[in-house]
Amino acid sequence: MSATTSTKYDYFLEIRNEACDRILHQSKLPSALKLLEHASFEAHCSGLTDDEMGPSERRLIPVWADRENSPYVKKLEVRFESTGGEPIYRKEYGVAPFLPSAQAVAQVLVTQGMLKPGERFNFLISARADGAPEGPAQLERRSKFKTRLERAGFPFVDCCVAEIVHGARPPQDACFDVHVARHVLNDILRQVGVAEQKEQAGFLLGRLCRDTQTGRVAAVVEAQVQATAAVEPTCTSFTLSPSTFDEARHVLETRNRPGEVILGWQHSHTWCGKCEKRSECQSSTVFWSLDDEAVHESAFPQPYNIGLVVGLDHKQEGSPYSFKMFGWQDGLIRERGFHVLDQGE
Amino acid sequence: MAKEASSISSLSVVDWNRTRRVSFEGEIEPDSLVSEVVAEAIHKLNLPTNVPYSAVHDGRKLNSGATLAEAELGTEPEIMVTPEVSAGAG
Repeated sequence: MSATTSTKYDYFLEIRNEACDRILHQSKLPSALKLLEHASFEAHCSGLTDDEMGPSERRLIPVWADRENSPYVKKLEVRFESTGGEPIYRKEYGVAPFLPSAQAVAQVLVTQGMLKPGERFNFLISARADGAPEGPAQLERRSKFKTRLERAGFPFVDCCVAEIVHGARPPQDACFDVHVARHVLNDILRQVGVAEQKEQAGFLLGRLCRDTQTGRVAAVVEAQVQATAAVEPTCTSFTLSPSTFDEARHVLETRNRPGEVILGWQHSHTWCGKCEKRSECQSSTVFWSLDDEAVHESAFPQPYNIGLVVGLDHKQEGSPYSFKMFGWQDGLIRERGFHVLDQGE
Repeated sequence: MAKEASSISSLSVVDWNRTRRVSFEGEIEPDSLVSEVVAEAIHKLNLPTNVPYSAVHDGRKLNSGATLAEAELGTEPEIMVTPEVSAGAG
């Protein structure tokens, strides 16, 4: 059952040991920006226009765990209401989107000796009504700064998607579609060939189209820009550093194409040159690693950001390269489908 | 010869893709560390804290251990934060 909508809540992260009988850490969570941004994007994808969204009140409401008087939540409901209190959009999220925060804390607990490396832990999210009596002092994050957060709106471009994709229907397994131009994939494969047994990476450029007829949102990837490595890539890693991101921004600004934004990134998995087990090397296959997760979480947190991985498919004769795409869904990074846009299609 | 630091009248931190901005309000102590500003911005931007970030100003990577005065940022600086992360199969 949800709490009342008029109350505002603070949310807290609790880390417990595997047996769940010992609290190792409690802290107040930062803003619920991630869930609010994702819900807002999904609301747009569901066809709501900026006018319909209006100056809505955006609330995060705890859905309590079943135990009586439990402060713990099993879900969080994002609810957008008009200024008159009329519901505009609602969406429930599990607590899984807070897992990266829990993992970050767990890493610190390992350095403090409170968790052993690799030891399993549990995390819980609790809610406390704003204005409720103060909890333990360590729950509140102290800051000497006073700050204000501003976020840009989603970079939607109104267009006729059907004309761009010539009526093609991509896999509709997410709230928005992704179309990638064939020449972008070919460009990536060419880069992979040049890089030989080293990983390569790049930025995906294109438009976030909102169909003027249907309101459906589609990311159309029309170009890719090779990422410049500040650190020599290896056969198992590619480091993205400040200069890499700065250069990508510079290319985008130099191209100066209307509506074009950085939609995401791509990188390759390859084999190490002298490896005798090349034909069965799992590191060279197309998969999403924990390192890839960290890149996407920290550098591509927008709900429309996508990640493309290219690797070898050992199940097919000759181990050709294949692609997989990952993106945000329900506040989590998941594999998703995409459509290849052939020239003239 | 030591340079006289100009005081900062406003400070903002943007993510590398310029989709979010954190404005620091009120008086900004010139002896605040660059790392403190970055940590505050990362918290506010709701970005994962288990990843290292760098601060860049006018294309120059800032020393995280420097104070804002030592970093010579001018009076209304905009700092860009970027993660330093490795992708791949490793």
